[in-house]
Amino acid sequence: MTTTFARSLDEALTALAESAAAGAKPVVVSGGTLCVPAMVRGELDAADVVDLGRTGLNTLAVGSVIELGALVSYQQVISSPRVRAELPLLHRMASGITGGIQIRNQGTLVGALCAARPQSDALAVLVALQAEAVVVSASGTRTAPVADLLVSPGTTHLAADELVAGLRIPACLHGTGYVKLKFAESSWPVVTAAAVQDRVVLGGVAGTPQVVPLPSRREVRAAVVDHLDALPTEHRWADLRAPWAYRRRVAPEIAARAVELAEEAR
Amino acid sequence: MRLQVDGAHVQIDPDPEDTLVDVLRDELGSTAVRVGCRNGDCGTCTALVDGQCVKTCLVLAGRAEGARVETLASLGTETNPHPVQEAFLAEYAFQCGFCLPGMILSAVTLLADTPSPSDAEIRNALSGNLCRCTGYVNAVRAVRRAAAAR
Repeated sequence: MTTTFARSLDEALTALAESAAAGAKPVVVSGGTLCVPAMVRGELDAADVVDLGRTGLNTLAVGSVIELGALVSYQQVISSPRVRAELPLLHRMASGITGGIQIRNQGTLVGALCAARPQSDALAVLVALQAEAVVVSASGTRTAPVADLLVSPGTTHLAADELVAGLRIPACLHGTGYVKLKFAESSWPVVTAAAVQDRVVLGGVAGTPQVVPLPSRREVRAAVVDHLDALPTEHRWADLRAPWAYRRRVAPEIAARAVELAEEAR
Repeated sequence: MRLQVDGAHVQIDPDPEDTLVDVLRDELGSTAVRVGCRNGDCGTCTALVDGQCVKTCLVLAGRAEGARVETLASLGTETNPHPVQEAFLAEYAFQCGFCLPGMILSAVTLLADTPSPSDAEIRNALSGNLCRCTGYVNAVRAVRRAAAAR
């Protein structure tokens, strides 16, 4: 195992390019809360590791678009009055991240995106907010909607020499709601729902977040049921917390509550 | 690499896959961070790294080059405990003590930012720490007591 503790984004990209050119699939460490224990357990093939901890990608800039670096922690999001005012949906989600002060200090939105776990708090919210990822490699920069980066559980459309340097999220001041179902304080969510304008985005029901357009506020539950019933079997998500049938049963209610919150926030 | 641990400047040469908790314990002999789950769940490996309350089982050791690490051992002494430690003693908020690095340092971090926390804020702050002796109620009471004593 070789580990590069990059001191700049360029240094990280050079290490990634060299590793990818050698045919490896380097592991990029942002907050470390997911990938470090996975490496310790041997679940991640970590021949080459690029740790971003010293790259300084921890800036959070708030304008009409909120820009967050790859190292911006949930706590930075929670502590920012501007994020609270201009992205209340993101603020609410971050405030409910499991794991206490420590995980909120260490966990990052970019890490959650790249881990692509269906049970994540962050993914449905990022998709609902139409967040874009800034994807960089030694050969250039591209932006990609978060929804397009997510392929399947644990898999993204990132090449071996690419990393996500940050996120760009348009301000979304009013009319949003987030609700999640989980069984214990320290548990991952079972189902999440992020409501924005005329849609609700569900997490924990499929391999990737599901966008459900809402033809009418009164038809939330029916729209969710129709969407879930149309999901191909291979895309339905289940893990040790709940089988898919349970998720299908509770998701309409979780979605309806998120939409109610969004209406109250208007 | 060089770093500062509980006020002492140290030099170590970790393996690339070493986590900070392993270096603190195995190379530097600290028993004020402990190994529980290695998954970021239990909190007993908690230390302050450059002032941030973190779980050191989730940190690759090399990331801490040049950092200032403070463990529970730097907080107070047996004869002169930190007010939060004093409150935990007074409220019988621990039995075996395995959870104390996380419980105490989470409480210290909470009170630094929120001097008069609600019970919900206390529970939220402590939620990253597992207590094997089920002392959660007394731990909440202890943080409340420490806040009142400030």
